[in-house]
Amino acid sequence: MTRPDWLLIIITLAILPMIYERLWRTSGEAEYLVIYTPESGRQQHDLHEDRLIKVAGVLGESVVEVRNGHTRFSKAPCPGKYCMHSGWLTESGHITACLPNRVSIQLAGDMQRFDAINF
Amino acid sequence: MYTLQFTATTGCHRRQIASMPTSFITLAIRIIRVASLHADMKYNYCFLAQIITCICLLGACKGNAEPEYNNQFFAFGTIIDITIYGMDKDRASAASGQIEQIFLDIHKSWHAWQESDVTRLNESIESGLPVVLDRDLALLLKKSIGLGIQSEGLFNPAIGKLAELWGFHNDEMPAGSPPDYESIQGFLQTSPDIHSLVLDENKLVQYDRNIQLDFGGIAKGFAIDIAIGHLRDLGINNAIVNAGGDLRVIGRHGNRPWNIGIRSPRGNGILASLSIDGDYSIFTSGDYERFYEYEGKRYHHILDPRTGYPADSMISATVMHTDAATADAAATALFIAGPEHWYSVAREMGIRYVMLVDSDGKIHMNPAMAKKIHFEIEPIPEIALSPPLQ
Amino acid sequence: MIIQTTDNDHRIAWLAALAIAIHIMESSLPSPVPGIKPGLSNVITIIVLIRLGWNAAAWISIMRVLCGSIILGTFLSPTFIMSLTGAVCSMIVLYAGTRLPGTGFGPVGYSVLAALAHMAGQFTVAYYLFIPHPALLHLFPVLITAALIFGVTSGIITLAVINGLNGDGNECSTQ
Repeated sequence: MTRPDWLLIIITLAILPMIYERLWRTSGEAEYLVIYTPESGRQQHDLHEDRLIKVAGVLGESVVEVRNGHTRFSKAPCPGKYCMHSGWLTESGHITACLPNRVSIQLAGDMQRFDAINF
Repeated sequence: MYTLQFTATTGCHRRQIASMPTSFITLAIRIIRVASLHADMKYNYCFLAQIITCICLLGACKGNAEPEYNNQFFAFGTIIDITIYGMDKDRASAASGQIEQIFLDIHKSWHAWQESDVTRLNESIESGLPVVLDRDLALLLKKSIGLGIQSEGLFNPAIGKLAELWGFHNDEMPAGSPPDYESIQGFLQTSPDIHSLVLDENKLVQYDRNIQLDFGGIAKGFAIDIAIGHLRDLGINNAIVNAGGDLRVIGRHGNRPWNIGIRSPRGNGILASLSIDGDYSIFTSGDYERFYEYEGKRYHHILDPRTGYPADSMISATVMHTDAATADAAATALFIAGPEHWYSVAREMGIRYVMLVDSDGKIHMNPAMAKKIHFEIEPIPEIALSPPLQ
Repeated sequence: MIIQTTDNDHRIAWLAALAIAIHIMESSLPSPVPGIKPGLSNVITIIVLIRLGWNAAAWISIMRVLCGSIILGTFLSPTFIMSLTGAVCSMIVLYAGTRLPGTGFGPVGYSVLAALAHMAGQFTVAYYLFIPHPALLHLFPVLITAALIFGVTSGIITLAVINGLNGDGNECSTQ
């Protein structure tokens, strides 16, 4: 085997992990959470750490729960609680909102599988 | 010489993406030149390194090169999500602002229970006064009458009184018991029919005074159509306008079609997906959207004009059609039509793509939809295929 | 009219026939993941590239795709288009490879180059023309890894065959 042969194999081996990293890292899983309110605009939050995020809306405080890379409204000041009924958001592109409180949450990622979700 | 070229090719920014093909062509020319000039040169690894740099660049630039703009706002009683592809951020953001204004204006003038053009129209109908409509409202009414007739009255914007009776004309869902049987029967006696509306230009020349218009089953679709028309006027041809889960898609996402997930009507996951190239609206009517529960029974907002009660044979009805207004009305009509009757209604309305989930979880669809849709769950639910539509 | 053929034409025809035979044999083997194949007909292409030059190798590889697809009944089908793209891509990369100054690549290097280019080309066509679903992208790293492994394997086989042909076990120089 010649030197360029070895070089080629070594370089390919070096690039391989990069390809895996780039194409597998996101794998359709959400990368971050976007919380939107008309007052504070779009705020990005990461999904790595399980926690509760408190968001001030027009009616009061909505609580957004982050767990295992998924998210949901776990507490809401609105009377109907539709936002809580809509359950966990699991896919990038998924969006739900508490309309009376004017708070929306969305999962987003650079390589999301869906550009929009119909329901 | 090589150092210079390296700096030229490694400075990869978003703006330079467009010049990527050019840099590959110059590389190809250089390959040939290097090969002919330096054929005897030993160990010219610079050349090999350059090829590899180019490959890496391609990989590195690909991930963040997508000029996609995304914005949300509250309007029309829902969250509206705008996605624009291939337009610079400033123009996309300006367009999104204009769309927001359009939705706010339309919502204000077409509101079914807050003071609006529609409530004023209903007051005039009730008191038997002559009715003149503005241009957009006349268009909406005309479209509604047409779709109402095609749907055999299942999509019926004339039953505003029934929705009010059920307490759905409210921002919050009603609490307590559903309306009693007698008052519903009383409503059905009056049987307000969309047929009785006769529109001459923008004047309502003939109508039944029992009619109260409620465009809840079409207004969102119609507004999305207006928004998409506006985006097109601005030269935006690749976009999604998503109003609370009902959406219209135009163009594509760069070199691939748009991918739309359809949420499972029960549970949190994605039931199926559609890969959409070109101009289509996807609308789903479901029993899970607006409902209330009384003594363990679920009462949702899609009322069957024949019985006066929420239609109960379906969980969800998804329609794909070019214009959003038709898709919106059809999703409502097919939801009400149920597993036996949907096929003839869809045919009558000119709908080409339908997927319904009945209350047993069984899926009903036409062959064209089955061909286009991709199920995202395992195992795939039981499917009943209809004969082709048209 | 009689078509005049040279000895070289005959040699190419024989080698192409061999490549086609290997190609067809391989297509009957079951594959765990669609798109992963050992690519043993690559061995012939590389040997020809080294002993007879790029032109002959290009002829053989294009003939293999054309005749192979006609025999297998996949002519002008997606499989054929992907296979043709793969072959064209690997021939382009091999051309660049033969122009590498200095010692140049040996059989293993050529084989790896061809396998990687073949896979990359094939995947691009599959993704953009046939299944533009982002989920397909997740398969790409696996496919490229397989291409590298099979490229090295068939390269070693090629090396062994060439050494056998030379009889003395010396490495073969470019053209």
